[in-house]
Amino acid sequence: MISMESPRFYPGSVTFMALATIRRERRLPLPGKVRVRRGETVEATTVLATAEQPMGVVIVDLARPLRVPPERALAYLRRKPGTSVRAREVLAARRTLLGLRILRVRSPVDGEVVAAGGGRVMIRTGARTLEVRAGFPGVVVEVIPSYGAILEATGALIQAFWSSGSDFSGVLRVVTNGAEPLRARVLDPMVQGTIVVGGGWIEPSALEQAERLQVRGMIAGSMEASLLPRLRELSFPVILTEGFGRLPMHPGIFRIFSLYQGREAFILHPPADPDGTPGRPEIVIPVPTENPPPPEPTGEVVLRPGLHVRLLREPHRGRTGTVLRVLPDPQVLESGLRVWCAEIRLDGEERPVRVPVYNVEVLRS
Amino acid sequence: MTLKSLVTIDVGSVQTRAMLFARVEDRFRFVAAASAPTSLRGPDPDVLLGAIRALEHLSAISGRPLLDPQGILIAPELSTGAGVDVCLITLSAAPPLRVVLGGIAPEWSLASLHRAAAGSYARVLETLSVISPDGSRRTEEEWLYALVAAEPHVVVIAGGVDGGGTRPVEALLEAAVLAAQLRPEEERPLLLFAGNALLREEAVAMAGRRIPLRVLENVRPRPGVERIGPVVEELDRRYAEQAAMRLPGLSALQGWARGEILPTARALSHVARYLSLETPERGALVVDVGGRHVVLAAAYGGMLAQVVQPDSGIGPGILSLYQRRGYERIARWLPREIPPEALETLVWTKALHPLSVPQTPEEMWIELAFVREALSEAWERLHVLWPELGRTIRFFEPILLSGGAFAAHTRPGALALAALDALQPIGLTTLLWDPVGLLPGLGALAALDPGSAVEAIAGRPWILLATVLAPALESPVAPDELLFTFEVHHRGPDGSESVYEIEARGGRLEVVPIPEAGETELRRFRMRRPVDLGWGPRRAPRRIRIPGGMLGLIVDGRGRPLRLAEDPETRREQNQRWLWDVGALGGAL
Repeated sequence: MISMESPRFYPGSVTFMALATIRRERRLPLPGKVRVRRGETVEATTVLATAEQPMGVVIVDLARPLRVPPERALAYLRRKPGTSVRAREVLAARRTLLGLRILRVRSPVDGEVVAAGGGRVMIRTGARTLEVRAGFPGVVVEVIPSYGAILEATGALIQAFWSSGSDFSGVLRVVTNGAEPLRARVLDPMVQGTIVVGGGWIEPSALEQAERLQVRGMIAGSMEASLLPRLRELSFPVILTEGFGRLPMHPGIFRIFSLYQGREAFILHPPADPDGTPGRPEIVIPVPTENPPPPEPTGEVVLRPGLHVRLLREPHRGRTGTVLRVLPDPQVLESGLRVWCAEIRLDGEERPVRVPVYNVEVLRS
Repeated sequence: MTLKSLVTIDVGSVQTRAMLFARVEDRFRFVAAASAPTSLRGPDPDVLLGAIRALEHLSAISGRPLLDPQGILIAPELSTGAGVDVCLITLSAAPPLRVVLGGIAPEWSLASLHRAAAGSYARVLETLSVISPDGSRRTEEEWLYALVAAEPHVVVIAGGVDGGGTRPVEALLEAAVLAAQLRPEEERPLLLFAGNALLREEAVAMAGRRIPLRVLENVRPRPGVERIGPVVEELDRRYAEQAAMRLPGLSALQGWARGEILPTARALSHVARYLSLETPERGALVVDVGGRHVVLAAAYGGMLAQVVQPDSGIGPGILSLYQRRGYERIARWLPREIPPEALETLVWTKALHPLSVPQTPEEMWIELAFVREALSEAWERLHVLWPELGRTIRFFEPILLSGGAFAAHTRPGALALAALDALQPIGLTTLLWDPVGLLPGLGALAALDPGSAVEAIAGRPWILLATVLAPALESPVAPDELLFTFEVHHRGPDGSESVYEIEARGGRLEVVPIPEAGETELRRFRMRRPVDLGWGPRRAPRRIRIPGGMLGLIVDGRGRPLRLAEDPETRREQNQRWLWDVGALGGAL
């Protein structure tokens, strides 16, 4: 039997929903101990699980102070690998001069003897406690033994493009009326301690003013990549929803921020993908509801007519539109590439454009 | 058993490519290719899913059902023609191994280990040297701290010729074993010992049962002898093992395959070696620019010099590449002024949306500028690691271009120019082009069934892009200065003859269309300057037969090394003119 169906394409997708049931897995990078139980209500700061990660190590030479060759030194070891040791405690000792004199080697630190060899011992001097916190308020719906838990909450979910920081939270304060750039003059002392939201791109002056006013964070559509070095000097993180350059925030995303003005938002950073690529930052705005809203969409989407998409590359970068059809054969682009394309009607325009199937991401809202 | 059909799956960092090979009219040939995104993004990464989609696509293109209703590969081939006899898998999607190297001297054992690591998907985080170039020496305690901090996947220790002194290498081994004991059992690095054979038993005793150890042949068993093959093989094996642990779905995919997963770079080296045996007097170069790695496999009569440059390419690796090379080095290849902001925006977009492709000519120029820099960087590393190749390193026949950066183009002139700018071959060479990415599959096939691989290669499954004649110039020449002249004699299949006289001028690229059919010879070279076409200054054979090709013959009179104008505006004009010369500014094919 010969199958001749057309190929299917699975572009990436981005979700922004004003109200959904959100589930997120929160886990440690290495095994530890889970501190919560199924059904437990947690706050953003609740520690879900902890693990001990070895920190420093001290190497102690036994052979020279005991005056023996390295291969004989371990015979005098009193604290074997796997045992703990206190500072000044005798690690190894050897009697000399017919037993009249004792050569001792004492541990310089508190710790655990972890290895011995070559006339030396290694002492692990301490461990750093790793912890994973809830990151947003919710309910533990599943415990992942030794690693963490799956949490559930209701509220808004916005998947962003990029973030300069780690998990944080704060009260939202929308400072622009729409897609205009985020400039210094729209930031007044009322923004202190809040996450400021602008519907356009970030102007350099806004970063300086926000630092002076001690904002908690900044969310905008975009920012010139040339501003990245400046972010290192700031005390607050920046989240971009669209990309780098000068792109306005998607109106649907801006509407969600406007709707929840004054509510607390929680910014989460999913673990990196298996190849090391960082995951998309996510903004969760908890909203209690009587009846659970529908779950956020999951799984991949087959590119098909009717889907609402965002375009990723020039000359339409940042524009949104609707898929009219996936073209049956590869097309030659102005760039000289021959690739599979879709026909897309851009929002606000009648004329369709041809766009490579992987130059779009599906908007799920 | 005669192989009837084969599918190869190359799991790349951005795309998974499936290739179908089958026996057609008694010859084993490449039949069709298809690709799908490697599904490593999002909450449910699954490498198997990307492979299934590539196979679905391949089924649609080839008309041969490859998957059963449950989405499992049909193997062996059925009497209906569905399925394939064998599946082979190559891989470059996993992050590189974290590696620490230890040896006695930078110019001996460590130089060998660096070559071995460079040819694998490995990032060298620390080098522990008993003798350092500046005479200083780290203490054994400092070695230990370095080993602990690096958290390596693999520690390779070498040093000493067989039967020589043992103490310095012993100390390195002790440090490696001690540091490994600090890690939890499941995270302990693999220790490879490839030093003085006298220490083998001691290495085994030191590692005991707690530290995974493999004892290999000494990389420098005698003065002047180098054997890095076993280290490379172990690094390849460890890379595949790590990948199976880290990439969801890879173990399931491996269940479909005959034999072990082969790192893509290794598969490419098989192809380079094979091609070099066809032209033993010159090297064969296989180039692969992917999303996260760049591979250069240069083979000289079967001897391999290979570099796998991690954190490079034009996918997720483009950001690191930009951070290392900087705006000026990228912008020097552009035919128009593109401000840093626009370049950086594209870099971030490409890094975070690596599947996306350039739609406009400007974005294509930028991506090809990154291809040039990625190749230049890998080339520089090859040169540093194999200094003994000297000038011969630029004499190749052929050069084969592969990888995602060279896929799906319809302006081959732009690709040829990018390769010539970055690699700067000297003399007469052939540029071959693998537009669908079948080389990894061919390399994997060569490892399984060399006979079938030879048959598939004999069918020349790649495209002959151009024959290149690029003289070395002893001194700079003025723009448009006449370098040499020659005649192109073409005899058509109908017996018709035509002769053209060609002038090679300084700073210019001349493209001479050569018909595929018939025979073409270059004759009557007249040197006007002391140029070297590969046969010595002012020398050339009386007749050189060349094949036809997509672009024909490119005469590159720009000299070696290529000199770009200092002034940015003049340089942009230079780039524009070269793009024009190779037909890369016109319409698509």
